[in-house]
Amino acid sequence: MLELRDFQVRYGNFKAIKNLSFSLPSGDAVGLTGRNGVGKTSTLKGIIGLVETEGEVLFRGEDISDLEPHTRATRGIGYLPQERKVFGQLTLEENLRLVGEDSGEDRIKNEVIDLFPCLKGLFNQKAVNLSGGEQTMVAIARLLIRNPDLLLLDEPTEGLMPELEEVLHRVLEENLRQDRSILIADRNINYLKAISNEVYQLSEGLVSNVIEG
Amino acid sequence: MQMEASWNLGKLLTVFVVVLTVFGVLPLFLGRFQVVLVTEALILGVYALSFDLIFGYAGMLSFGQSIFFGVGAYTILYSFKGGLGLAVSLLLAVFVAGFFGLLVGGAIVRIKGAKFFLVTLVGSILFYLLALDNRWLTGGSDGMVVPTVFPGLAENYYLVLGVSVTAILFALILVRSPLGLVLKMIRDNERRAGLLGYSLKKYKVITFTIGGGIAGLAGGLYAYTSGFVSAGFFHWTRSADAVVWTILGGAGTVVGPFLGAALLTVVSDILSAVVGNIYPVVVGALLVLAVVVFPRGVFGLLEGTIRNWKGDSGG
Amino acid sequence: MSKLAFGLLNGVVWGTVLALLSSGLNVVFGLMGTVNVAHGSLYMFGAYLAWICFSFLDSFWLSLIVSPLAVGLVGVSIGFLLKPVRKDPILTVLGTFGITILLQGSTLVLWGGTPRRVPLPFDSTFSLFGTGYSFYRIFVALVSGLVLYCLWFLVERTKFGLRLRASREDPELSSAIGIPVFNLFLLGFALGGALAGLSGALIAPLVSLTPEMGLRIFAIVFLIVIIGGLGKIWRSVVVAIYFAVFRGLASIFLDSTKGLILTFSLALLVVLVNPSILGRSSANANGS
Repeated sequence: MLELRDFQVRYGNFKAIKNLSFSLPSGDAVGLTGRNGVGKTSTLKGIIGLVETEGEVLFRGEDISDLEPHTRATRGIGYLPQERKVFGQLTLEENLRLVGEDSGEDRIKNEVIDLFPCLKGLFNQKAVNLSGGEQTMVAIARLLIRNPDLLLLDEPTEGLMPELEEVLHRVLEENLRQDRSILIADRNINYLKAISNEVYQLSEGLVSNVIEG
Repeated sequence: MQMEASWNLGKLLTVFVVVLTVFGVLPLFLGRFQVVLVTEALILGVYALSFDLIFGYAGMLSFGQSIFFGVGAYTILYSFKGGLGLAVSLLLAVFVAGFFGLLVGGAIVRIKGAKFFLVTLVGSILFYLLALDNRWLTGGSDGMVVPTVFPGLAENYYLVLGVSVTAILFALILVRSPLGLVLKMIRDNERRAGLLGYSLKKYKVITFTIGGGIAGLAGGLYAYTSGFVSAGFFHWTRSADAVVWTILGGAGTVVGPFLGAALLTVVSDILSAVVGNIYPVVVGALLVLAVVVFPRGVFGLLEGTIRNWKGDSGG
Repeated sequence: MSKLAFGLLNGVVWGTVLALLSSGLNVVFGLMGTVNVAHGSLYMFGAYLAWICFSFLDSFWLSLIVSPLAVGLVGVSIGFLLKPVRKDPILTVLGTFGITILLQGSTLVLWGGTPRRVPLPFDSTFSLFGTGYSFYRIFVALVSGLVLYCLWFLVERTKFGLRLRASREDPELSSAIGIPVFNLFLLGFALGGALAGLSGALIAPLVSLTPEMGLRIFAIVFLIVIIGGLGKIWRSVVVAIYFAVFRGLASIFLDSTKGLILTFSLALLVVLVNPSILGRSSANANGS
C-alpha cells in the first residue's frame, strides 16, 4: 500500500529525516515513535505532501512524491494532523460536509452519531466553540468519511478521553480488517504496540530501533 | 531582494574616488541637456536612497516618501522667503522633513506588512489632498515660485553632486554602523531581533526619521533647482517613483536606487520621445518582471555578473 | 433639507457599489492574505470597458456582461502570474502594484488622459423633494444589492463557498483533506475580478473616467476592508456604506475635497487607534 524509498525531509539546510525506507502492506499498521521534534510529524507531512521531500513515496505502487497534497488526499490518503485540527469558523456539520460526497449527507450524519453519540446536538455549532475532545471526534470523523485506504494519524491520543481511545481503537481495527493501512505517530510506545505490527523508533532522522507489536 | 555589499571599505573608497572624478569632469564632455539629466538623476537618486533606507534596510514598504519630499520642498520655499541662505535652508529642509518622519513613523510603526503599505498610501494621498486644498500655503496645483538666486539644473550640477555625494557617504556609513546592522537584522528576521532584546519600534522610527530627512533634502534640492514647487510634489506618484527606482535598481544597496533613478529617468525621456505615455506601461511590466523573476534588481544583476567574472564562488 | 436627502441617497448608492468592490477585494484578500493592489485598476478597466461598449458597440448594457467576464479573466491571469510569490506579502504588493501601473499606463496610452463620460443609459427620474433623482442610481443600488446577495449565497450556502472559507482559514489543512487550494485561489481571483469589473461598469455613467481612478479607489476600498476585518466580507459591506454615506454628507457640508480629506482622516484614525482591527494577520507567516 505504502512504500518509502530513501525518503528525506529537509527544512532549508536542516535534514529532519535523513533516510527512511520501509513498506507498509495492506491491512497492516506501523507506528512511528520518538521524542518530541524527532521527525514523526515531518514524516507524515511528507507523505501527504505538505513539506518538500526527496526520495520516493509509493502509494499503491505509484510514486506520488510530485503530486499536490489535495491530489494525494483524493486518491485515498487520509491525514489526521496533530492538535486535532478542525476549521474553527465552520460549523461541525460544515467541517464534515467539506469532505463528504454531495449526496448522502444524512447517511453520513447518522454514521457519525453512531460513532460519537455525544456529538448529537452540536452539528450547528461553530467548531471553535466545541471542547477539545469534541473537536478531536470531529477530526476523526472527517478522516473516516471518505474511507481512505491509507490513514496517517499524528498523535491521535493526545488529550483524548479513555472511552474515545477505545472507540478509536475499534475503528482502526475495523479498518485494518478491511485491508486498509495505518501509519501512526505517537510518543506512547505501548499504545502503538497495541495496534501496530511494527513500531519504528526514530532518532536523528533515522530509524534506530524496530519493535514488534 | 537584499544584497549584502560585501566589498571592504578600501575597495569601496577606491571605486568611490574614481566615480567621483568621473562625475567631476563630466560636464566638460556633455552637452547642457545631458548635464540637466544627470543632475536630475542625482537628486532623484538621493530621493530613492531615502526609500531604500526604509525598505531595503529596515524592511518597511512605505508609500509615503512623497510626504517628506514635499515637506522638504516647501521648507526651502519658505526658508528662502524668510531670507535664509541656501545652506541653512537645505539643512532646515532636512530637519523639518525629518521631524515629519519622526511624527509619521512614530504613529504607524507598530503596523506591519501590507497594512503598513496601505496606511502610508492613504497618508500620502491625504497630504496631497491637504496640499491641494490649502492654496494659501501651497499654491495648490499651480504652485509657487521659489526665489532661487541661481536656478537651473545644469547650473547647479556641482552643488547637487556635492550634496548627493554627502548623502551617499552618510548612507554608506550608516548601513555599516551598529544601527545599520541592527536594521538589517530586523529586516531579515524581526522575531529574532525582538527576542535578542532590540527595541524594534525605536529602530524603525529612527530609520523613518532619517529616511524622511533625506527625502526632504531631495525635495528641497529639486525645488531649489527648478525654482518651483506645487502640490504635485506630494502626489503619490512621487512615492511610486521612489519605490520603482529602488526595486528596479536593487533594494538594500546604497547604489542601486541611484542606478534605478538614473536609468529610469533616461529611459523615461527616451520613451516619451518615441511613444508618448508608454513609460508607465514599461515600468509596470518591468516591476512585475522584477518581482517575479529577478527580485534583486539591476544592481543585483550587475553584482552577480561582476562576481562571475572575478570567479568568486556564488553568493 | 433636500440636499441632505440627496446626499444620503447618493451615499447609499455609492456605498453599495463600494461594498461590491470591497467584497471582491475581500474574496482574494481573505483567501490567502493576498493583497491585490491592482483591484482598483480592475475596477477602472471595467469602467473603461463600459465606455468602449457604449462608444463603439452602441450598447452600454452589454458591458454589464462583458466587464465582469473580461475583468474576471484578467483577475485569473494576475493570480497565475503571482503564483511564485503569493506567499510573500511584500512581493505580492509590489507585483500587483506593478500590474496597477501597467494597467493604468496602458489605459493612458490607448485612450488618453482626458476624462471620458458615459451618458446615463436611461434618463428617467423620479421626483424627490421637488427635484428629479435619477432612476439609474436606484438601479445601480438594486443591482449591487442583488449581486451582493448572490455572493452571500455563494459563499455561505454552497459547497464552493464552503471550500473557499475553509481554504481561507487554513490553506494547509484544506489541501491535506483534498481541497485544491490553488485552483480555488485562481477562482477567487476570477470572482474578485468579476466583481471589480461589474462595479466599474455600473458606476461608469455616474462618474468621469480617468486612468487614475483605480489607485484612488483602491486606497478607499483597502481601508474599508481593513476596518471591516480581513476576509469578513459582510462587515466590510456595512463599513462601505457608512464610509460612503459619511463622505456624501461631508461633501455637502464642506466641499468635495475637504469631504474626502475628512473621511480619509477619520478612517485612518480608526485604523491607527484600534490595533485589534489590524488583528487577524495574514493567513501566511513570512517564510524565514
